[in-house]
Amino acid sequence: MLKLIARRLMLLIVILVAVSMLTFAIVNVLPGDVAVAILGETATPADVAALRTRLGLDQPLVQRYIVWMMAFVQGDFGTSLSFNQPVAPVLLGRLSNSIILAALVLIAVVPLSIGLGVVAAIYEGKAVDRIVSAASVVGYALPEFVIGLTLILLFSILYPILPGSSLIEPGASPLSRPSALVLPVVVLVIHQIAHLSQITRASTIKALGSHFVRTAVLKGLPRRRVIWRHAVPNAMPPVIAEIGMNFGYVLGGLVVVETLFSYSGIGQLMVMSVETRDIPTLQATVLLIAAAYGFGNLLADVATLYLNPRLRE
Amino acid sequence: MSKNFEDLRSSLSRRALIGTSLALGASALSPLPAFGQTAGMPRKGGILRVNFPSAPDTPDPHMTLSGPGQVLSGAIFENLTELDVNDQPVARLATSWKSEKGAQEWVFELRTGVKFHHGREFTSEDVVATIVRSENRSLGLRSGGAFGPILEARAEGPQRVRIVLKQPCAELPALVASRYAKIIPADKIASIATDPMGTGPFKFKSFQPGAGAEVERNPNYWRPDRPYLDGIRLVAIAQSVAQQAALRGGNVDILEFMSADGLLALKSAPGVKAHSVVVAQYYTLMTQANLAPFDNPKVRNAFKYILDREALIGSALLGEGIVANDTTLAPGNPYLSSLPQYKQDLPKAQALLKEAGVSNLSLELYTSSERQPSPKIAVAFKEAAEKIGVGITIRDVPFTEYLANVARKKPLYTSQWNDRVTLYESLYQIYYSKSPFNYSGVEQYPGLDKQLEDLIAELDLGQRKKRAAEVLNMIHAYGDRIIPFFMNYMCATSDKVQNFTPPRHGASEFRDVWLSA
Repeated sequence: MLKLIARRLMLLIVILVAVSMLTFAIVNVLPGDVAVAILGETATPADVAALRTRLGLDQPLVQRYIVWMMAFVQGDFGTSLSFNQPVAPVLLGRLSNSIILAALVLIAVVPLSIGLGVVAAIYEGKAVDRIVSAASVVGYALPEFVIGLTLILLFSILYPILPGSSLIEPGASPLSRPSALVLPVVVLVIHQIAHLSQITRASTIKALGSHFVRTAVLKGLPRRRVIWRHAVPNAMPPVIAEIGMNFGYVLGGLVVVETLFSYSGIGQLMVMSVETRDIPTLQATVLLIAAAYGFGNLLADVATLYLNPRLRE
Repeated sequence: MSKNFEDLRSSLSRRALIGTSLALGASALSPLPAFGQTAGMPRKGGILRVNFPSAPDTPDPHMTLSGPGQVLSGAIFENLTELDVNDQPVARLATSWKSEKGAQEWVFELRTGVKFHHGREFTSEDVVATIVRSENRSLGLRSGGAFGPILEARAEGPQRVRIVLKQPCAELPALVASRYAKIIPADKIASIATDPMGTGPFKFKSFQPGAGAEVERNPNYWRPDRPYLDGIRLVAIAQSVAQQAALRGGNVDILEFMSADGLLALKSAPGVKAHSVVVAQYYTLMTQANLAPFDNPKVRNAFKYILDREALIGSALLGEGIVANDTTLAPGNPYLSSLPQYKQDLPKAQALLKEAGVSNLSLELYTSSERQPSPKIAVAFKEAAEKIGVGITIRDVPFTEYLANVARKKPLYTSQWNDRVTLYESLYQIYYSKSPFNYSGVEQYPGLDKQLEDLIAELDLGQRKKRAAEVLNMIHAYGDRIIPFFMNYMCATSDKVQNFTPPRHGASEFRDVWLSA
């Protein structure tokens, strides 16, 4: 197993290098650069050229990439071109905010959706199953934006009991204002439960119809034991794989929710740095998110191996 | 100082006219602006939380592009002068000024006893260093030209500065009140973007890239009775519904730069004052005078008859604006001569196009959804233009792409301009062929450059008005900017916010604002 982990980590590094090259290349293909983004429309071409020189954007692409890469591997994330500040502290501050949000969401989503999925599978075709499935379809079909706006209208304007934005004191942790976390977490939970519970349901139904479950039933095991000891563990691999993917998503893909609730996390930073073509910030953010996806997958694979003795050598 | 151009504005009708439209709009919106002052003695203390749709971009006053960035700079830094309610320059860091050599040179006397936030006394050397930095074109700053057609600045003793211009400029005292002409300390220029030190009523406290910024009370401010607030926190909620929730829920005190729909939703909300004031910010359709088909002045003229401006104010601004007439001066500006108001006249537009010898026009109209309500202008224009056989394809592009590939480069696109006060800013800088803001880079009709030079140098009020009228007359007919409306400045405050006046030139100042208990 250690060998597998080592191999996967090597692969992750290769992927991250590829991601960094791609990001660098794509940003340079996009129309506009950080100089025009900073100076805006009234700037003269001469001012833009001067700023480009000051920021080093007049150097050849490959050279800029190599310079950035050499610094990055030595732990220097560079200076944000649009904020004129070192990237690392900005990124780390936002990373801790994102981790808090991601952790809260995963803690709520994983048990809830596995529970709901299993219950729906047990009562397949019955009322409970239909309700869970229908609610899931609705939750998944509605964009996060719609769910979020509806909740803000309901709980911040009509019945003002929760803040509609997650503003926190500068430098403070989001946990210092728990009420501000409720709505973003609920939006994400509604959206993610839908997907994960349906995967759990499908996978559990498949397991429940398998030979080993039938054997367990025939050998007279109690129903509860059949389900939780035999069916559910065998239904878990696809669910765990999905949770692994979610790990990357909740850490860096929450652009919509972060924007809606003004939550200063990684996703918001990524979008801002794309808009301003701020390559150092974008590179660090994208690599972080890619690494989160990679680690999420790796963890999921290890967990699957652990659950399935046949895959362990 | 030559008196004739000094008080020309105060006698004029701009404020009076805007006052009227403000009162009309305000009657439905809020109590009179004086309401705040009647609520008792100013109370000291409290942190004012101000929301903007985006976070400040940088604390560097010569670099900031965004509205919130200018508010941040405006709290920390000060100008030599500021504008009163009649747009007259009045003393700030300078106490008096006079022109010499026919307004080619200006001498400013500086306030004594003013200290920067790091404790050093403000002197003429700081003014000189500020001007040298802001005019240094190799830095790629946004402040180039902020001090007018400047040649050099010289310190004449610690409290006197002489500003020498390349050409006479009668409006310099008003120009140095502009957003980029903020005075920075000579010894702290290198760190101005990370640890800004000014003379302003508030000191820099923190800056969170992409999220917000904080300033705190300057206890050594040269007006000992100001500011009232302990500090200001600038925050950024982008989404309109979330903004409303934050104001109504007491999480913020002021919503700046609101959209018309957001304002509409708050007009009847309890505990909230909605403000909508006439300012000179405008949206425009640019018909690039150096590119076909608009290199033909007759085509530019024809296009001015296509839009239904009144209807557009309803659809794009929900009524929060006033009709404009393709001149860059806001209605009520003292220099504005009486020009016929453009109205939609499609047969006339068609006839003018025929006269210009243009047929089967098919054009791409560029706009950006990231700059609302620009796309609504584009849609309204397309619908009207197609009725007279002018084919329009709307291209909605991301704003950064717009910056790189559209502005100055495509024949037809939407654009957006902030309030500009002086003739130098609103006519000379925009229409002089070599000026950076003349996107077409050409004279819009022969002889305009000379006219503009003479206008800016002219010291006699009567002559200036006459020259301005000549310029405006031709720009009205052939200028490359179709300006359908001026958009009101919209903001909302909680009832706790006292003595707040919506900004007339884009950036709020909070020196006089206080919070009631």
